Amino acid sequence: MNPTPTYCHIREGEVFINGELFCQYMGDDPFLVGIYRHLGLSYPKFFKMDELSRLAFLGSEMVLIRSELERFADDEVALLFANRTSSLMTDGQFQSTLEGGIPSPALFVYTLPNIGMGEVCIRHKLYGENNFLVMEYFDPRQLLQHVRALLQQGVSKSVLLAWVETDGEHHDGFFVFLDGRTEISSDELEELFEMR
Amino acid sequence: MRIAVTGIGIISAIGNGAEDNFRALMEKRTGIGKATVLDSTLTKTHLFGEIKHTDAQLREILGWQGTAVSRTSLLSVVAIAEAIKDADIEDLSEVGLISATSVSGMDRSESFLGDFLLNGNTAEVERITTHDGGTTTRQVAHHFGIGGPINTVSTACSSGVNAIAMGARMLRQGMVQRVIVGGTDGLCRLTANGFNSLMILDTEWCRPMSADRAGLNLGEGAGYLVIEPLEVAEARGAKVLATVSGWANTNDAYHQTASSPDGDGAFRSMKLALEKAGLSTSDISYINAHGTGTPNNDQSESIAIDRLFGAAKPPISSTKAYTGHTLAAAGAIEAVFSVMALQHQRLLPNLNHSQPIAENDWLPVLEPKEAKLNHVLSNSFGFGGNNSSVVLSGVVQS
Repeated sequence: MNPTPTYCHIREGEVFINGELFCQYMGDDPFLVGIYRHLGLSYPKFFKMDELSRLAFLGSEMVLIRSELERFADDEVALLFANRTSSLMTDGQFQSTLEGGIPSPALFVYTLPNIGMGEVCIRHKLYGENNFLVMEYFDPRQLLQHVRALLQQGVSKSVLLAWVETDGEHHDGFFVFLDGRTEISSDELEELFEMR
Repeated sequence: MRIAVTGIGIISAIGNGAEDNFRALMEKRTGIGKATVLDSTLTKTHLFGEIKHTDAQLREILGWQGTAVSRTSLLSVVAIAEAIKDADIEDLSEVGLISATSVSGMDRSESFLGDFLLNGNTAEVERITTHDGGTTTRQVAHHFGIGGPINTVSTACSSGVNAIAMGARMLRQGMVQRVIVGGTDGLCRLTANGFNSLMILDTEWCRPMSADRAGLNLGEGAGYLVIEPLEVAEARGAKVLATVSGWANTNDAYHQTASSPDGDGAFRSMKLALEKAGLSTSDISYINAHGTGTPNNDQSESIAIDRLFGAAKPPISSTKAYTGHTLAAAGAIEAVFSVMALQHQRLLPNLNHSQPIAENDWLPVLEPKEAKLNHVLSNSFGFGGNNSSVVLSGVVQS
């Protein structure tokens, strides 16, 4: 693998960037809000997002600002995200407002797993391709095939690949930026995904 | 590599099967009306593009055992069965399935939740195992013995086109030799109430591309295409209905749900799809618009079309007033409509149009006219700024 791509993990109270501990849950704020504060961001829209979008937003932020995006035109960065439970957590929250008789439009918006990618695109002004796959587990072989297809067949010159899973209590976020400079095998991708 | 469409299958509010759907389009007959199957208080006030079979009836038609299957999967099975038959393929052990859905098994979860909250009934808890999109696709794949790569795309209302694009790309990449691509979504309470909470549902028939439009009608259905490399299709003597010649997906990067005022994402997706197809705007014979009938979408899409096509616009229409907005199925259903438009060389009429949009220098197609159609552009735009376009082309006899 040469050179190593930029990657990030947000898992169970800890954030690692390129395998190095970046910050951890301190107990004052909810985990993801704590990361937001640690990053010193001023992006009020963050607080309107659901948990899945916050996870997508934060992981993408940490990887994208380290990925020299200026190398690419605004439509050359593709986003390929995946998870197992789609927008289940927010589906449940919206369902509760429905049971209560006043369905919340602000929650309904987030009952789609690709909204977080939209938030990332708004934040970084990315007009490239987005795809969101619902799959049982992080399948490095299959995801890498799709990354290669994106890089070889379209306008995309780079791909932010991510796994975003949360039920509010547990978080499993993995983000990696892949471009023509990085030759990565599915075994290596799996290793990156597994490591903390 | 050219990509052939060798089979199509569809079920929507205007019929079960390609023939019924096409006849309704030619007769300008909507499928939108009072819902009788959907269990929601909104059926009293709103109209839906509903398929008039209950889940039990669908299971019986398909000979499906057990109730742990979502409406989304059942509709998918109906449409895929037709597409497979149309493509004349029997061995599915190496065929792939890329299926789009946003509703997934929500309807089954709602049915379980209702029983549970009212009566504490936990019988048939397996109903909720169909909740996630991956499972709805797997059940369908298992039903048919589909053994190739399986994926579930969930990118809101552009999912159907994204599934077609993903399958086409997989063929070009040599990942699979034949793949069934499309989308499916059943109606459920969550989407009905959700769209209602956003205040973008019309309580009357939706009026796409009309100045007096006031929102969309929700619908349900499934549409699938069997696609394979043209040379593979020709080698096995398959009939080729059309080719998938271009596709693109872009992000509007503007707002979670609203389209940008200048239609940037839509403009880019149409432009890139044409580039991929190697076509110029003058090659497009007809645009099947996303045209949901919301003030925002139709305005933004009109502006994007105007920016790309200028004064020389091809005929344009939206077919949402027939089927309702079928969400993740919409792009696939409209790709099937586009293939049928090419096959029959007919423009598909827009319904419920009464007033031109003041800024537009065009009127939508209002009658099922005969026309020389070579290339059809179909748009699908979704929440999350997810915008997709696909170009379907007629088969030039070599």
